[in-house]
Order: sequence, then structure tokens, then C-alpha cells
Amino acid sequence: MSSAPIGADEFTAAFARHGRTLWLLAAAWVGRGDAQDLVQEAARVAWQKRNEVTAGSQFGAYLAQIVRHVGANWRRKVRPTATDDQPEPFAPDSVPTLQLFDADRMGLSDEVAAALQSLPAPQRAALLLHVVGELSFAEIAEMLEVNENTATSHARRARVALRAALAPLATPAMRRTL
Amino acid sequence: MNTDHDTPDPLDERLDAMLRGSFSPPPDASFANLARAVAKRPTARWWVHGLLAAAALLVSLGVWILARDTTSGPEGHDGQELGALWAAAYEHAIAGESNGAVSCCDPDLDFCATCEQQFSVRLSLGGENAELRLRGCYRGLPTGGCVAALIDTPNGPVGVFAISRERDPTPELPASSALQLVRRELGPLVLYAVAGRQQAEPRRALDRFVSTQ
Repeated sequence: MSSAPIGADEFTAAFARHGRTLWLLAAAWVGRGDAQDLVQEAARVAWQKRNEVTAGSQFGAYLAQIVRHVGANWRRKVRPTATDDQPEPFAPDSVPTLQLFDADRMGLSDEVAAALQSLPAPQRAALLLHVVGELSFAEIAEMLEVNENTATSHARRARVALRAALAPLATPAMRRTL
Repeated sequence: MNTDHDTPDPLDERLDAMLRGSFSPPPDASFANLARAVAKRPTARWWVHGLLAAAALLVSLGVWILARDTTSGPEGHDGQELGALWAAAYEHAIAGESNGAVSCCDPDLDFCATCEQQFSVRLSLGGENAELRLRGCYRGLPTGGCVAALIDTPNGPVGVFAISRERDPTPELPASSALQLVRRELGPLVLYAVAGRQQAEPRRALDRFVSTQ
């Protein structure tokens, strides 16, 4: 990492480079509808704190950390007991008060939307970053500040839950693979 | 499972396609634009500093105005301006007396009564007054809103100027003046004596005044 504080051009370039990842992370934390607002808020916070960080390869992880923290606060405004920064143990009973994934608007079945809703945010994030963001588990681990095995485990658990929700809708050929 | 090393199956492929369709991020350019807009916008810290600076400026301005008001004479003169007016008035009064012109003082206008009327402070010239003669209020040149009188003393004429303590800018005579200035606080009033620099004990003229409140 360089020692100089990040400038406007570097900040813009970093956001362009990590924007998709940050958006997916935000979508995992607060849902697709509020993801862009969360990324914008995180950008504002990151720019205010730009003197606390230097430019370099870790800046993406720093931005991801801000997205997760701002996202957690975002959800606490609606649901004060949210504990998304602490994936285990998870309290599914506290989830239904905040509807993050609208099945109709996202083109999902009710079952899949409910399964997404029931997942801890880090699990959702791991799966989205792997499937949609095409990040390796090492990169996901860096974004979630966990080790690589945990990142892999998060994604696996999320996939198992979503497959279970999707299975009743699958064709017989697909169902054989369950 | 569709991990890095596993063979994908149809259900995973359908799941992945569904996720890609439902969670399609905005284009990269939108994030660059977002970051550029944030970086150009003044930060909250800048606004806080700006507001603090503006508040400090307003407070300083208020203090300066208040201080300015309290150190201005009754008609807004500062100490040097008022001192110059008094020096001119004293010299004018002395010159009028010495060349036999019409007196610049009004004997019918009692200095103590005028002070009472203007400052609500009752004054009197106490003690043995045989050696002092109060000629009356000075009615010549401007005195900056102060009540002035000329008193004859054995050592020469003394100009007495009365001003409210709240509006006293602490007058100073011009540096080139051949006069001296003596100050005495008397309750809510401040009395000044103006006399020739060589003149002895002009203070005694002020000491004769007493407040009778």
C-alpha cells in the first residue's frame, strides 16, 4: 500500500473497480431495493474517512467493511436486534419483521424469496459474491473478514437452503440431483 | 454443488441463473459516477468547520460592536476625538475671556443643575468656595455631548467636563497640546479637568465636587 491518503481520482477508480462487489454485498445486507442507497451512503462515509486509509489493494476490503457496518446500522433502524455481523448463532425468529426480498418484484418464487430472507446476511453475501460477482472464496473471505474455509462454508449453506426451496419447483431431472 | 471444483448440476445451474437475474448490479460506470459525485461534494466536516468559523466571526463582530459602543462618547466620538474637542473648547473659552469678548459661558445655566438634568446625578460644589468661581456652563464649541463649565481658580482657569461613566471613552488630549487632563470618577459620572500644562493642581477643582445622592 502506498503511504499517501487516497485522492479523489483514486477513490473514484477504486469504486469503479469494486462497485459491483460492494453492491452485491449491500444487496445481501439490505435487499436489492436499498442496495444502491447503501453503497452511496458507504461511499460518503468512506470519503469522509479517507484520511484514515491509504490507497492500495486493501482498499476494497476497507470499503466492504464500511458497507457491512453501514448495512448493519441501516437494518437496526428497522430491526434493532439485527446481528448480521455475527453469523453464528443466528436467530431466524427475528427476521420476518424486515422483508428484504420481494418475490414478485425480483421474479422469484415465494419459497426462494423466503429462503433468501431466512439466511444470515454473510451467507447470502458469500453465495452472491461467488455466483454473481464471480469472486473466488479467497476474495470473498477478504470482503467478509473471515477465513477462506468460513467463506466457503457460508456459500455452501446458502446454496443448500436455496436448493431446498427450489426443489419443489424443479423438473424431475433436476430433482434427481438433490 | 457448483463450487470451483465440482461439476455443475441442473438445479445449481437454475439457481445460479436465478440469482444472476435477480441480483444484477448496475453498470460499473454508475459506481464511478457515484464516487465522483461524493468526492466533489463538500463533506460534513467542511460544513461543520464553515459553520464554526461563521459563528466565531459573528461572535467577534458582536463583541467588537459592543466594545465599540461602550467606548464611544455620547455622540460617538472615540477618546482621541473627544480629547481634541475638549482641548479646542477650553482654548476657545480661555481666548474669549482674555481678549474681552463676550463670555462663552452662560452664568444662568448652572453646571450642577445641568448635570442632574442630563445624568440624573445631583452634584454640588462643596467646601469653602471662596477661591473658586464657577462661571456657568460652557456654550461655545462642540464638546461631544458632555456638560462643560469653566472654573476660575487661584492657579488659573480650569475647564470641567462631565460625562457618564458608561460612555466614557477615556479621552486623550492631542499630543501637540499644551494642556493637561485630569480625571476623577464620581459615582456614575466621570469629571475631567482641562488646564494649562504648567498650571498647578487642576485636580483640586474636581475634588470640590461632591455627589449628594
